[in-house]
Amino acid sequence: MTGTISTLREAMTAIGQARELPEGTPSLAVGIACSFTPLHLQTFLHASVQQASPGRRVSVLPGLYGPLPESIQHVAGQKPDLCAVVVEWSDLDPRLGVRESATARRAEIDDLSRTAQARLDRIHDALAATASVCPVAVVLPTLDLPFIYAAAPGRAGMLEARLESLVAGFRERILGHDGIRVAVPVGGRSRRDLQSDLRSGFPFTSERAAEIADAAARALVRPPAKKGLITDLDDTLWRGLVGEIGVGAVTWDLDSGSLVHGLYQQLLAELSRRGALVGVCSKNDPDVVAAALARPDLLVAPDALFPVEASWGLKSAAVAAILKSWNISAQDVVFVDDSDLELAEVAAAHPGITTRKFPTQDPRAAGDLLNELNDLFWRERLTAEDAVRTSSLRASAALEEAREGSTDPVQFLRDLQGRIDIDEVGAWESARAVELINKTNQFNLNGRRVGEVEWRTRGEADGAFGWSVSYTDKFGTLGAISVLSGVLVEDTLTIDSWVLSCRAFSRTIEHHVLAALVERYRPATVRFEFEPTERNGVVAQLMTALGYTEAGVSGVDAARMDLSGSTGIHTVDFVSP
Amino acid sequence: MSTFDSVEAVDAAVEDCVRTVFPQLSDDELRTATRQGLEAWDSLATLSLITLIEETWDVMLTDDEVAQFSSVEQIKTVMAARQGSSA
Repeated sequence: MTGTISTLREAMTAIGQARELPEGTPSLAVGIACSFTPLHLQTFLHASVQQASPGRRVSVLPGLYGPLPESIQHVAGQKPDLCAVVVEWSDLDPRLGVRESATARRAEIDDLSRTAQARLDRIHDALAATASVCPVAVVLPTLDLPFIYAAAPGRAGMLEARLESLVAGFRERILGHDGIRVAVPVGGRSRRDLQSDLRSGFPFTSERAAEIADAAARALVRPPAKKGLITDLDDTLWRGLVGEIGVGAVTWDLDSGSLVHGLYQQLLAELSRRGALVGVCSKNDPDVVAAALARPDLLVAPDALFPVEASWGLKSAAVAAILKSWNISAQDVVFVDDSDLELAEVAAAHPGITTRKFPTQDPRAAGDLLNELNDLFWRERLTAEDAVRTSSLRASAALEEAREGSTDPVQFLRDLQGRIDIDEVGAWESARAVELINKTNQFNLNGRRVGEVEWRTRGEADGAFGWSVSYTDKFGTLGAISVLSGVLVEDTLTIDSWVLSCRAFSRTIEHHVLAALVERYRPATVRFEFEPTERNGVVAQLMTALGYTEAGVSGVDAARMDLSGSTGIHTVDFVSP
Repeated sequence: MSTFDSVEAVDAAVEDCVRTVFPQLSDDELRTATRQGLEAWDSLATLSLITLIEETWDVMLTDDEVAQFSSVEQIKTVMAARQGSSA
């Protein structure tokens, strides 16, 4: 099943299907805290998170029925992997709930505001504490106020304005906490189920519960962001065929009725700033393309576009060249073109690639496309490496060009004047380290993913070590490109995570890191928790070269590891705290 | 409201809803299940049944109807009556 879950039957079916997952499937515990019994909300959240986490067996840990801060604390105490918190008006003051308002006199605005502020402060404290345990998605009030507080139909009232102001301040405060995300449900034509509220205290319609659960699940579990976007030029990056009408005649402005292309250029600039790779694939004369991309009014800087493949050949071949240059797989890439034919040709040649048509004559559809692209490439946070990704790719391209002209591979690597910096302290606090582990597929010891909290906790174990490895050479810096972690028990070193960015391949960095590890800890045995995956063949080759013959945890005599052929090529330093 | 053209179709639709909530029951256990006799039939299960039936028939059940949801047989009776009154 795919797509948003909107009925209880779909939700229960999704949960039922997960029962068929094989033994040993990793678990994922999701807490849900609200001041009412979560009922269908729990079912929908379970299903939505399960659907977004197909390789995990999801369970839901509900909070306590009662005041929200206590419910949040109860959930946090169960150490979930993720947590959803649903706040409603009645959590700010019980008199703002239907049940209480029906038996209480209409309260004064100032009185309600004071209570609401005090309650929000307590909820804030509980959320802040929970965010240190796991990522938290918060859904803020979406129901209408009870009838006795309603203003005239179609008009906003003073109480509503005051409460919304308090909630806005609260939202700003909680967004200041790393790990707290505010989930915003979409839809909402039918929100309050008065019958259900009166019958069981559950205030939402089934439809609204599904929307809230979907928003919370999206805030908590996101698919891996796409890494690269390959764009066509004519009638995509700009309006018009540049080879036909000339460099000065293609447009992307309001007066020409082609601003959707300008908005698209702005989005590409933003995606590049966020570390996405943006390449160009166009059937055009290369000189014409170079002239057009040099226009000073282009809204995406030319150096954000790399590589630019302009030729009259098949677009699938140009896409293949770009993928090779980026050294990423088609699954991580979106191809945008205005031609159905080109999209189909590329899709057929590159299984797994995401293709999207640029609807050049349909601004509404173009707006939807821009929103979707923004979502596909959304990343929770930016790292220093994001800022240098395109420049480091240019550096890699320059390196490969130089490599082709070299006859002595070892001397070539020596001439790079490579420098490997190992950070032994900062890795456990590094968002980049977690990101690298979770998005690296090729050089990944076992394909295991890790949450930020789990990563930090791992670093607290006795004998634990975690390295974040950066690389720089004469062609430029690649930033942090490798992470490894493990534990030293007596004289046995066990490595449980090890990833190396594909941008850093072919430089013998992995051999230097291993040699540094052995030098640092002087173990008698090195064990690798290696597990083959569909895409980590490069690690399997390394394991074989090191003498490992079977998948799983196995070890070899550290002294027998022959790393001499690659060490000494680059300088290796440990970063001082 | 969705309509079903026979009592058997109503019964089958009710059983399908019950099966979704209690996937562990055999067909025989399902047909004879009662709220008193089935431990898993708690208040959440009742609410799930109500919602599934409301989704299936595209109706809102009344409190009086819900009060009769004490066994699968009773649910069939309630929904058959609904079907009859809307025919």
